Amino acid sequence: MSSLKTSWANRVSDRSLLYIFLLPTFGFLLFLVVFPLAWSLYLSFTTYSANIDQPPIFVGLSNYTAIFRDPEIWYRFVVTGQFVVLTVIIQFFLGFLIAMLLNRKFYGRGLLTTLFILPMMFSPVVIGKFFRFMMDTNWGVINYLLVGVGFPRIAWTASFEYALYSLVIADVWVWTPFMVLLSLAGLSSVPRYLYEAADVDRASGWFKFRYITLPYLAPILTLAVLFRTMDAFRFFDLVYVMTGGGPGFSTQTIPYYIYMLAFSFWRTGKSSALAYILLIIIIALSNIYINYLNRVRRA
Amino acid sequence: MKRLIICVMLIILAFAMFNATAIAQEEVTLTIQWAAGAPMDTLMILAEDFTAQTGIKVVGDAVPWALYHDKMFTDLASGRPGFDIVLPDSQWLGAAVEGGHLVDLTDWVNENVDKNLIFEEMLRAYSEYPDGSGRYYGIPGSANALGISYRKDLFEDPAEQAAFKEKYGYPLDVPQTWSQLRDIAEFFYRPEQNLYGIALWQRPTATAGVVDQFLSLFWAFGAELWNPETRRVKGYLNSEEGKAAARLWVELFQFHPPGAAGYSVDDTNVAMRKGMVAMMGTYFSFYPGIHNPDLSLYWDRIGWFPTPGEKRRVSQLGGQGMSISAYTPHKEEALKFLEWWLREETQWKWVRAGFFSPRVDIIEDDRFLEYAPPNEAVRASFPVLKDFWEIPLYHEMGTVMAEILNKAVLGQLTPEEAMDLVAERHEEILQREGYYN
Amino acid sequence: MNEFQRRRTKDRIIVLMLLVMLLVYLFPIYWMFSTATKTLAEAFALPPRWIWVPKLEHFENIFYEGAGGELGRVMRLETERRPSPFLRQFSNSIIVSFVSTGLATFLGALSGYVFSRMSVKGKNDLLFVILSSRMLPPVAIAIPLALMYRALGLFDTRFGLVIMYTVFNLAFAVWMLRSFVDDIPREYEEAAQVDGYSRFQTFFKFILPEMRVGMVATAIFSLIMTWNEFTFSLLLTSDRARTAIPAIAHSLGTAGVNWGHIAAGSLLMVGPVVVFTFLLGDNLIRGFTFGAIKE
Repeated sequence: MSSLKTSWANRVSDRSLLYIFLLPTFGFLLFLVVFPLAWSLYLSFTTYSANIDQPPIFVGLSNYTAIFRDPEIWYRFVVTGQFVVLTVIIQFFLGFLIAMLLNRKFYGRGLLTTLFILPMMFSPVVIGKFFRFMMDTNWGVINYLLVGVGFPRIAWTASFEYALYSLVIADVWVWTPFMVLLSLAGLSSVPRYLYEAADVDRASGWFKFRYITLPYLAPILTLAVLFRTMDAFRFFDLVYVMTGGGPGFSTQTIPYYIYMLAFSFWRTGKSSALAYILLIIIIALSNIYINYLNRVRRA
Repeated sequence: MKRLIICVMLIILAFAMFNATAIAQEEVTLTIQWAAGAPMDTLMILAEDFTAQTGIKVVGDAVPWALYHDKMFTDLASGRPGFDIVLPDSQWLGAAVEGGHLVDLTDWVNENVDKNLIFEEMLRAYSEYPDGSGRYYGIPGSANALGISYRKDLFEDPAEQAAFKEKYGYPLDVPQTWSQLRDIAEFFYRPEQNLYGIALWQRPTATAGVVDQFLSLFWAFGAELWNPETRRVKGYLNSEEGKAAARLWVELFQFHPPGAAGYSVDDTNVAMRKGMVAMMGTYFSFYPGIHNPDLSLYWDRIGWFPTPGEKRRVSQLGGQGMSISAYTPHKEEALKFLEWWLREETQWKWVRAGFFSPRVDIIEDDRFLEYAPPNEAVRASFPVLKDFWEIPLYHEMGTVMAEILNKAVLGQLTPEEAMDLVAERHEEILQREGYYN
Repeated sequence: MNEFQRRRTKDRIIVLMLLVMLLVYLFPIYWMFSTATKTLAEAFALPPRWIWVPKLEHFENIFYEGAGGELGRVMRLETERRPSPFLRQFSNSIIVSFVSTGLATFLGALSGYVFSRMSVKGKNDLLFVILSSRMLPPVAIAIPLALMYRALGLFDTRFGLVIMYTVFNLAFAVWMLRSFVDDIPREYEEAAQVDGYSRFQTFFKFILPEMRVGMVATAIFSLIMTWNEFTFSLLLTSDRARTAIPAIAHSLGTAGVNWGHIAAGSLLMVGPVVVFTFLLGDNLIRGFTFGAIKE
């Protein structure tokens, strides 16, 4: 029996192995991504409401031009950018720091690692709601503790000054563990003998970090930042449960606005156009990351 | 060749897997979609009577409130919703009807519903579209209105009463006008004691936010959202009355607890339960937590009054109608359920469980007053209800209004600028959708 | 102070730093636990009750009908407590998440290997197509997807959710695992091929085990994403296949939000993921310490 299997496995040529290995992946993608993508690309050139049973009316580029002319949408792009930059940078440094500290032998390391990864396991929506509860101006425990150490009360989610930061805090809390996890996985891929060789040469800690750790870590860290950036651009759950886009519309990020256009205002055409603009921005950004990634991979 | 075979195999596998999960149904089961919560649970228990009488089974598809709107409309837009009967929020009616998603019940309503027994505005808001057309797409389901709860212990304290009389020249009592309510809010605004005048919803969203509550004040000032004939907004929404309402709204905000600019249903509720505010606005149906001794510090010292008047007395309508999905194969059975729902017997059970009925005879019966603390205020509110736009654009118009008002209370716009801006934006939206052609 | 002692002090300082950070970092979870085991009145009390008698009723309520126990109580009607759909939804969550995580990780390993080691025409473009599935905001494709699911009969089936979530995680899995295959020395499999193993065998016998750490990290992350996903779970299911998160996340009764219910629900939901991570995480840690084959 096993010889039969072996012989079958032996006959798999490189070419067909390639197909066998790739086909399921692309089958799934074609099915669930390409079709909806093509559909919404088409809709982005039309006036259409998914709620009303009337065929889309082709309007050319007017959805796109309307978006580019609207200063309030530009404002939302700026807010989205601020959110993404802030969260990704904080998560990157914090996550990497924690991973570096965790990356040594000590008793209880496994438990400690799991505890640091814990926040990521909670549902972001629930966490968003819960942060709103903890950040309440009057009965939130965070303000209670802040007032206790002499700070003034802060209207976290309901003031122009702090609303964006409360979103950032919640997002950082949930997703820093992602950076920790990937940094740890990356650190494990650094061959130990390199450090040992460096120790023999009495190299400094900084030297080891700069010339051994970082080069090995660069690809996976880039990947981590890439995925965090893409996800931070796409998600709107936190906005939805924490600020509802307020005060005014000051924390309406683009994905939240797309959500409102699509499901609340039923302007499917315009929401598709805006989604495509966002997609193009993400693609452009991803390309920068990927170019960098390809550079570090070759090195 | 190999590729093709693998492809075909995968597709066959896929079909085999989901076909296996399909279940054949034989007897008629009605599925009702509604927001998850005590009203839904109660409806499901009451529906056991219906099943006992007709043999038609009823099951519920309970959707969390925050997601109910999206879920219902996505289901309907797909053309194969998983439900037969649905209870849409009053302002969703237009969008659902224009989508062709609801069964036209005009003839059935004219034949089976005694319109004198139903509050007129409820029949209009929950069932009729467009307004005044005489076409019905549902019946009143769960009736509701906006009201205000207050701390009785403060209002009835003789020392407070004397101090109030001295300061304002009239006795402290349940306010009859919004201007009086403003005075009371100012009077009880004592941040140093952690007591604030009033908490109203301020969250910048079209529903469960600033719009519902601002409108109850706005209506009372005699303002209108638009001219229902020409659909013109300028000169109506930003009329002198409208601006006066906005001024008072912004003024009231300074008597709110700090951080109130994001307040929605739960926040004002908690503020009242903790006794942090003298008055609080909410839909009447949210009373249970406030009067629950396990949750509320002042559960036995809280009273209710209808939203005050100014130039006229109007209450903002809430609640949901009950409609039939246009895609149901069980229309006859669904109609039986609607008929059963409006029966006196069913409605009495409904109010006994602490909810409100759209039936005039029940609300006016004194037995109704026993069943829930706010019922006297409910009785005063139901004859003077009013609802905002029901056209599919309501969400966009409401959101614009909410965002701008939210900026106004936070001092980024004056009330006058805010109302002018809202009117302008509303006309832009209506213009875009061809309402002026 | 000799080298050894200095090292130990340094380690101790680092562990201390970690513990302090952990304390701040885990405070929300502690607060969630306290909210879950307090009555609602206690949960809102300020100054906070640091000592309280833990109550399990919020946990119990999750298993019964009523959107949050005391906040959604049915009044003045004779009724026995009915079980809520939580158990069914929970088992849906388990099946859907674990199956799709397994699928995504496995398919990701296959594709990751191919993209790392073999010459594929238009490799970078294909990789980018895979990545693009991760870029589009979910809300933008929700409507076409819902329509498509109805048309294909995939609506409200666990199978439908499984393929949705598999695709959801594929991009991450492929890119992650390609990066891990890159780190495995080529000499290793070349040696195996010289020994007479085919590429197919080499992959399963030698490469796959070496990708362990990467696969574990990928699986943990995929599981978390799937387990907590709620937009599609809500829009693509109605009753039979719905997972548990949507019901937990939005528990609003007629008297407001029942924070105890939400906290208890999310603690209950986090259990399986923690167990999974802890079990596999051990593997992860061992992967670190043995330094794999590179020594």
